[in-house]
Amino acid sequence: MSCSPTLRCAPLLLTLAACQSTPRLSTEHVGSVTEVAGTLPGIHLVSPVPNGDWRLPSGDYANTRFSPLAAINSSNVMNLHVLTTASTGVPHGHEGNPLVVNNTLYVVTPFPNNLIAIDLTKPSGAIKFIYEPHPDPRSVGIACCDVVNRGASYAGGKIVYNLLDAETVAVDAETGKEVWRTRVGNIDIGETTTMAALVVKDKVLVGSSGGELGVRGWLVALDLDSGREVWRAYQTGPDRDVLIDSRFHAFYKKDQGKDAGVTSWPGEQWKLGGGNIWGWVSYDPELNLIYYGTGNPGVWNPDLRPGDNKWSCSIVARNPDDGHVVWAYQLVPHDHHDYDEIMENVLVDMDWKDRKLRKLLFHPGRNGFMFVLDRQTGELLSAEKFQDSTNWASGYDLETGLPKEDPSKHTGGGRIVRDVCPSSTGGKEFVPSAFSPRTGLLYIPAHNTCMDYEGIEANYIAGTPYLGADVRMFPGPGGYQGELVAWDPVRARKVWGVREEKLPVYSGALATGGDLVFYGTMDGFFRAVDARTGAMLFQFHTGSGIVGNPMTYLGPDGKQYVAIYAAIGGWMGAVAFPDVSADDPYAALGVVGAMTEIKKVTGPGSTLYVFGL
Amino acid sequence: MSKKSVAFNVLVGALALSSSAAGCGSRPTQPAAGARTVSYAPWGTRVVVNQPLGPVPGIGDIAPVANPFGNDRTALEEGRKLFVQFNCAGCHGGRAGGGMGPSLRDPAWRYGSTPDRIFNSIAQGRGQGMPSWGARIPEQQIWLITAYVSSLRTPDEPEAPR
Amino acid sequence: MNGARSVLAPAGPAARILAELGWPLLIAFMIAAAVMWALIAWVAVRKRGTFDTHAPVEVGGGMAWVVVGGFVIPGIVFTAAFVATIGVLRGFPLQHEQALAPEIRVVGHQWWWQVEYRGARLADRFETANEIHIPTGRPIDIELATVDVIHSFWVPRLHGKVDLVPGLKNTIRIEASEAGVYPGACAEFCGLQHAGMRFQVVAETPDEYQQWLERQRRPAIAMTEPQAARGELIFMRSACPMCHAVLGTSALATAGPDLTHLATRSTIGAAWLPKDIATLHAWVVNAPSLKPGTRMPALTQFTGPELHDLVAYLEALQ
Repeated sequence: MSCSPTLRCAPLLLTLAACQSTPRLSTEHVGSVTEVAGTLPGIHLVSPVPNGDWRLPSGDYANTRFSPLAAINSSNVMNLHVLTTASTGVPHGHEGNPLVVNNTLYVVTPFPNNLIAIDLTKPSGAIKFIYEPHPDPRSVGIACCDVVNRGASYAGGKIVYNLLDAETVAVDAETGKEVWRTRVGNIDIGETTTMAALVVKDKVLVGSSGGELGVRGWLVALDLDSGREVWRAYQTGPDRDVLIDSRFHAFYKKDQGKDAGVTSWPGEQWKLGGGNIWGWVSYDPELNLIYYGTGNPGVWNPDLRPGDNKWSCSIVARNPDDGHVVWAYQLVPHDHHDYDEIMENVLVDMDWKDRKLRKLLFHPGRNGFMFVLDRQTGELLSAEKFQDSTNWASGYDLETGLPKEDPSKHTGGGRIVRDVCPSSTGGKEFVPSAFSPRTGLLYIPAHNTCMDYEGIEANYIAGTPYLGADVRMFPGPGGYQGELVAWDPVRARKVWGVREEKLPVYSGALATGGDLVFYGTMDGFFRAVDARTGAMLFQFHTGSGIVGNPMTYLGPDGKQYVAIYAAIGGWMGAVAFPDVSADDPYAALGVVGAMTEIKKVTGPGSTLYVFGL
Repeated sequence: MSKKSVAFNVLVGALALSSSAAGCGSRPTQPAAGARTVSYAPWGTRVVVNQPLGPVPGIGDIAPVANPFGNDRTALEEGRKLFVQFNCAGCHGGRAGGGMGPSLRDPAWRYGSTPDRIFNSIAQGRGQGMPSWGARIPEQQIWLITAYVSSLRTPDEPEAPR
Repeated sequence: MNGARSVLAPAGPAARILAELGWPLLIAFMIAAAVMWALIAWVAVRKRGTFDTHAPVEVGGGMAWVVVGGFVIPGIVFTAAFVATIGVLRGFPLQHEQALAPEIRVVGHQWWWQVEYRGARLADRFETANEIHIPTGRPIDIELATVDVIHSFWVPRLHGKVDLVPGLKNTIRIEASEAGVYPGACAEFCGLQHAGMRFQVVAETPDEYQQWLERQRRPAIAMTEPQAARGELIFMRSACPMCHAVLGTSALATAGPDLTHLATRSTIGAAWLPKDIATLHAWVVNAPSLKPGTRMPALTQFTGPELHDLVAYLEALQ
């Protein structure tokens, strides 16, 4: 295989830590299930969950990140060990997870976004192909938070994913040939695409990144076979751009009204209005609705954009066929703190108060509140703090849907607001939580970070950051900065938590049928904890901090494996790189002060780890 | 303009020049005569400073161009203002400690740390996303920004991080 | 006394109240000064004899002069002035009535005025610079803020001085009784071009004001005339969009004055220079030579036909 001369391209290194017997090829375990043994009464899964393959970024459409595989369980996980490692050759943040389809494991690297297919049937995991798309290197300079990629989808024999330079590609899963490649955005105005493209029915859904560069956010649907654009929906602007028509019904009065994406902005500021979709999309096959959250409203200085700034920081439900909005709920009107609400929306049918199997949506918000919505109507059922330090608001009024904000934490131009919690990185970042139908708990990788925030002048120059804020972050009170929280969404309380003293928990979570929760820490520990009690049952120190998501699959031999990337990076992880200086507390958009430990405990890496018994 | 305001302007201008010569809270002086200058036509055709990026084989003496502003205090403060105004701080960090772009405070310089090389990096742009500002920022202002960047981690740095 | 910048030629109720105190004080003090000068003159020219004919003589009295001239008369005058001043302060419009929601926001920069107009709806907001239009016959509240140092908003014919202080929001309520152009200036030393930091308040009839508002709300018109269209291309490809905004285009920067409707203004350089073709040319090419210290840089790369095209574009921004 050839390597592009402009990047350090190490050949793929594979080491075998344990011998395996001749693999038995099997396709029986391909597929997914909706009925899971041990599901608690009053819980019903919405989408089939992966039971051997892992074909979607979250494994399923409902973002539960749950797999019923139980061969690895609380009685034997202490015997887990590394079976395979593989370097992807790119020492930057790996924020996604691999896919496994038909005994092939697919890795998408950060920029330059190579697709590496590993044949799991060969004993040493030989490479089937490497697809090198060579995206535009100029996009490296406009990625706000490391040159990450959050994953891919498999559908129709193709692996579909986004390149950093605002293109989407579909690659034949068998041969590695490019099937189509579509440009979806323009890097000259700051648009990139880092999110994991999601295939829903015959469409590929792609969302924009660039809320720090004044990019007006959009979600685009491409035809799965041809890559042609079918519909494009903006997140700000007039109703005809947002694809709001007479079928739209917002539950709350504050979200109703014509052209709210224009009238809630001064002048024409909505054209620089953010609302990017760089996180996760979920899908309810029965209701035929996709759900996603939108990012910050562009410029960080709120004085420059009076008004509610719709539809930033919102949860939006759309029909995937033509993209029209069915309902929308703005979680944070007139955001003061860069609370992107692009977090995953976990879809579960659960008994709720007096209603049986109510169609729920869980959204652990960046703003520190755990939201439970009715996903048919967008009604807010519950919003409680999952981090005690959260102080920008005391709670939410369920009648109006509005947060009860503390005015002393409102930021603005020409003044410094101190000790705002959570910080812009959130009570939780985009790193996805996991839900187990066997325990009924949501496992949230949470942060306890606070900040000082000063609004300053902002000058818009296309393709450059449009911020208007000097931010300094630091660990929150309580002596810890990260916590894996096991949250009971119905009773709205924490059941248990595993705390990290110095660093936030910046990896996704995986819940399994073996009643285990897997996650990783920024100093490189890969862990399995008991899903019911939080007791740590297994831990392994990998070579680099973990910012990706664990996934689990069945190998050709029918055995269960767990895979994780160990490669520090991302927004907060960027401080681990040599080219971020620790003596500038405002560097990397303010995270340096919260990450003083990280250079001591980890460095860049690029390794895929596969664990098994 | 009336005679009176012309005279007034002359007076102000004379005061400005004299006080800038004294270096007390005034505008930075114009670049010294003889500095190798750069012209950028507004719509993209450029004449670039003739400075090689890589090592020059053989014996040669390329005299680097000095920053015409030196480390004049006013120039540094104006350079800091421009560093924020033109969003350099957005990519390179609030005090140039890095983020989307590399840190400018540390001793690692991919394209050279002398003033003329910093000037060129700003004016020409660099691979991996450093925009080319030559057609967008007048030469004098690029020198001011260069002066600020050269002052990082020195006692002269304006608005140094605490 | 009748100049455009005279505090004694009021054109609005606030200035009228001040002038009602100002004129009597001026006259009273002129009378007092005239009396003192007359006394001094009398003393200076009054003939006296030589030292030989006069021996020092103890002359009593004269205390009346001191008591009456030094305490009583000044006491009366100053007491009257003091009472009148209290009356003026009490009479000021802003302290009497409820504060209106400010329709205009003025932000001071070194050395120009950013003017933001609010409207009934958020989407009606627009920005302009250095020229403030108000309707005659009714008060209008202006919110004052600054991004750097202390400035002061002063339109002598309409109101007293109100400072723009970093970190504070002050409000001034002005009202013009007659239509006209009222020059204003920064009244708090703010740096090298403090003297050049001027602005204009244009008072017009309510209908004209409404028309002006609607026009300013619109984005820049499309350039159909070829020279202006060429100029627009030059504008967008060079340094201008780094600092200036022209609504309706991709130039949306806010570091410098908004140029969307530059051609409707009558001055440039913060009302320091007239907006005619020659001055526009000179300003674009070498603003620091016209207004030393200005943050607008010299753009000497513009010459000949390109410069003419660019200025034609600026003149077309109606």
